[in-house]
Amino acid sequence: MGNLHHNMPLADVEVRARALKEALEDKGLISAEYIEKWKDTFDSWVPENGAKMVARAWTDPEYRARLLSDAASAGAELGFGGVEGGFIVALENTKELQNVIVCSLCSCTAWPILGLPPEWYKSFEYRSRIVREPRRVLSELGFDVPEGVKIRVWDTTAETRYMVLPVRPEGTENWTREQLERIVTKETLIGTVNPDPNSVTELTPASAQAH
Amino acid sequence: MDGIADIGGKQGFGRMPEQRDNLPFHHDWEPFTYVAALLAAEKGWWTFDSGRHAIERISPRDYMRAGYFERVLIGMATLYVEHELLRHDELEERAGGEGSFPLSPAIGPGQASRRHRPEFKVGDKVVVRNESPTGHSRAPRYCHGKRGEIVGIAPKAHFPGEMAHKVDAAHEHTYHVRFEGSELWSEVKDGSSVVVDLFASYLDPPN
Repeated sequence: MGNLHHNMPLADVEVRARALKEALEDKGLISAEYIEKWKDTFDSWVPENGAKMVARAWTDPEYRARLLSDAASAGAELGFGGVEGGFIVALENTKELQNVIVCSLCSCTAWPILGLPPEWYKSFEYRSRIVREPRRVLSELGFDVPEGVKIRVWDTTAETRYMVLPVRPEGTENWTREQLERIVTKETLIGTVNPDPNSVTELTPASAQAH
Repeated sequence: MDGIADIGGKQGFGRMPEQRDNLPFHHDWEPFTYVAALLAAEKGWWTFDSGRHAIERISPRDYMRAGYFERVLIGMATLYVEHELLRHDELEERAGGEGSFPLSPAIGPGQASRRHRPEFKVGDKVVVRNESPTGHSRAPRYCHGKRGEIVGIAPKAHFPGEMAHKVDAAHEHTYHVRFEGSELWSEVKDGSSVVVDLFASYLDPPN
C-alpha cells in the first residue's frame, strides 16, 4: 500500500517512528530521559482527575459555582493542569440536556483532566457522525438518550477544552465523595454516557502505556 | 484548507466499533509521536497549530489509510524536515530507502486575521463566512454560511491561519457559537444542536 508516487513500499509505521526517534537522538535534539519524563506526565493525566472535580462539584455548591465559571482554575485548585488545560469550560447537564464533546478536525481534549483521548474518540466514525446524528452514535455507544432530552454537541475547534458535568444520579444521596468519584469515567466526562451508580469503575492502571 | 481532516458530517463511515477501550496508547512507539510535538513546542520550533496543519495536509489517500498516531508521526517528521532540523533523505535511509517515509506536501500560504473584526456578545446572532483559504483553518466546513447564536466567549488566542504558517499571529477572541442541528443538516428534527468554537475572523453579523 502507499501513495502512487512512491517507488518503494511504505516502511512499517514502527520502523518510521524509530527512524525519527533515532535521527533526533543522534543529533542530540531529544534524549531518552526527556521522552520518559513526558510519558510519566501522560500517565498522570487520568480521568480520575476530572472525576474528583465532578464529585466535589456534586457535594460542594461553592466549588460547583467555581467549576462552572472557570473550570481551569477549579482544576488547578485540586492540583490538575498543564498542556491543553489552559481554558476549560465545564458543560452542565440537566434532566433535559445532554452535552457531548468531540473534536471533528483532529482530537483536541482537556488532557490533564480527562486523560489523553481514547481511540474511538479519534475515529473517523465518531468525528464525522457525532455532529450530525448524535442520538444514533450515542445509542451505538450503549446510551439511549430519552426522547425528551436534547443533545448538545461541542466541537473543540479552537483553544477551549471541555468537560461534561453530569447530573448526580438518584440514589447516591448518602454516598461519600470518594464513592462518587468512582462512577465518573472518561466517557461520562466526554458525555457519551452518564454515571451509573450500579457500575463502579476500576481505577485506571498506574501505567496506561503500551502493553 | 478544504482538506480531508475536515470530516464533520461526512456520511458513510459506519457504526462505532463494538470493541472499545479508553487507553490512550496501544503500541510502544505511539507516545513518542506526542513527545516529538511537545519538544518542538517547548523549544519554540513550531506551534501546535503548525502540527495540526502538518497532519491535515497529509495527502488524503495517506490520511485515510493511516491510523491516528501514524498521522501524528508523518506530521511531525514533515515539520522536522521543513524546519531543517533533519533531512528527508536521512529519515528514509533509516526507514529502508527512498519512498519509505513519505511526508506531507506543502500547502499555503495561510490566512490573515481580519484587521477589522466584529465584536459580539452572548445572545448575538452570527453567520460564518464561507471561506476556504489554502492553509490552516479551524472553521469546519459544515458550519460555513450557517447562522448561529453566541453562547460563550473564550479568551483571546492566536489566529490559526497565521499561527500555523510562521507568521506573527494576531490574538482574537473565539466565540462558542450554537447552531441548531436543523440549520446544519436538513434531516435533523430532534432539537439537537452543535456548538463550534470560532475565531472572530470567521464570523459576520447576519445581514
